[in-house]
Amino acid sequence: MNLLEQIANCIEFGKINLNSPYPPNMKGQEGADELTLKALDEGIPANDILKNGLVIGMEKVGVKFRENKVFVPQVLMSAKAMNAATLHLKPYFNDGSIQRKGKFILGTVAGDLHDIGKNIVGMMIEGNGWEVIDLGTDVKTEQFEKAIQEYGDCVIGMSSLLTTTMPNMEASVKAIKARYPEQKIIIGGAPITEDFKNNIGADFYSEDPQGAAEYLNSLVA
Amino acid sequence: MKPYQTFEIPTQRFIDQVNISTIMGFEDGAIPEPMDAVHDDMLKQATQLMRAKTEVKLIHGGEFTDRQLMIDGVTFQLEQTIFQMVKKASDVAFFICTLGPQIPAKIKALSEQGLHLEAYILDLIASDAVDLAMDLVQNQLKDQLAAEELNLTNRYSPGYCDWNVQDQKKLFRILPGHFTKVSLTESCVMHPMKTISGIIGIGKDVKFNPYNCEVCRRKDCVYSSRKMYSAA
Repeated sequence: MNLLEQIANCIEFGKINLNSPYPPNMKGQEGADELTLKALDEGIPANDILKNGLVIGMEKVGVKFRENKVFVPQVLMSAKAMNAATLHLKPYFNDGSIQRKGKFILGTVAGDLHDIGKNIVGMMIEGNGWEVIDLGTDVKTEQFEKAIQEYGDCVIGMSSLLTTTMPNMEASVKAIKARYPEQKIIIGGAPITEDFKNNIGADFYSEDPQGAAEYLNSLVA
Repeated sequence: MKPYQTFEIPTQRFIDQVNISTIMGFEDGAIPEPMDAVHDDMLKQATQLMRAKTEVKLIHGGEFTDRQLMIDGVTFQLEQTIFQMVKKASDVAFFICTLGPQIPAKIKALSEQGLHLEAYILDLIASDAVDLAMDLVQNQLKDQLAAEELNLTNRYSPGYCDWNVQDQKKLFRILPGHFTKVSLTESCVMHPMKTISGIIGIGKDVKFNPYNCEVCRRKDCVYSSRKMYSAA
């Protein structure tokens, strides 16, 4: 297994660093942290580490999550491993050596405080090479609009876990589309359906984070 | 039963019943290493941080018509599921139950430190705990009412079972949350988080439905996970 494959493996299985006890079968082995540093030391371009290491690992986790082969805790461990690796890549993001795929602004809609699903979507999309701007929970239409003005070219993601806050999602989508007709908006959350997406005029609905990442990637392919 | 009651529920009375392994995706009690250690640590911290308080206001004689409950000068639009369960109630209990501000503050702090697994586990523990605390209160109410041969329905909350979350404002008009120190934002979010509020129907002709998960579309509800244990 080459170095990039090892990094991808660490991300997939949530191996953060040498001292990390998770996963139990990788105890005592180097993690995403050390291997990313090693890859940079060996002269592997930062962009290759991102594309062929971190992104590959997160994609695998995303697919396994979709297939119920792993659960939220394992995804969070993978995200933590990815963050450990990303810290070493930060200078390359700052100097432009690594180009993000785009900006993704997400939030849970007004009246809704549920954030676990939203956070996982954010982590997964970040792991796919996007810059993620998380507006948090109970996000009103004006906050989404303000973010569009501030960040410019971006995709908006909205989450709702309550059937009763779905109308707030509808209001936000319609208001944003009225003001910014070209704005791409993706939606998700337990009660959301494809029909609902069509009715409110959003661009995409995914029932799992990986689907959202795949849609975003298709926009820049 | 007194028209207004307050409860402070000692954490020891419900913390041992917290069970989040199924909602985490694992079989009951089978959280893998080393997540089990994180779970145990968060459970300890939760025990230190929780201050469960509940207030309950009982109002006699609501009027139920056309999926609406008119009571104390306020009209609630209950929708079919809840209306069917409470329409025969002679009294309605309004409740607010909270774990206090320390748990949400800790969850936020963990999240901000990038400790997402810890934050996630503590969040689940708190969600389960606040319902368990309210279970204890509901059982106490049940005992108080037993002498009068009155039954209780399940409890129902704005935001669930298609009950519009905006009705939370009406609920807070009836029960403003002074004892529990719970406030409501314009978008009907309760502060502190890990607070539940709602109604319980009371009367001779109402009943408690042990499983009503099928009426709800929430996929991550702790109740449905409990149902899964029972069915297993």
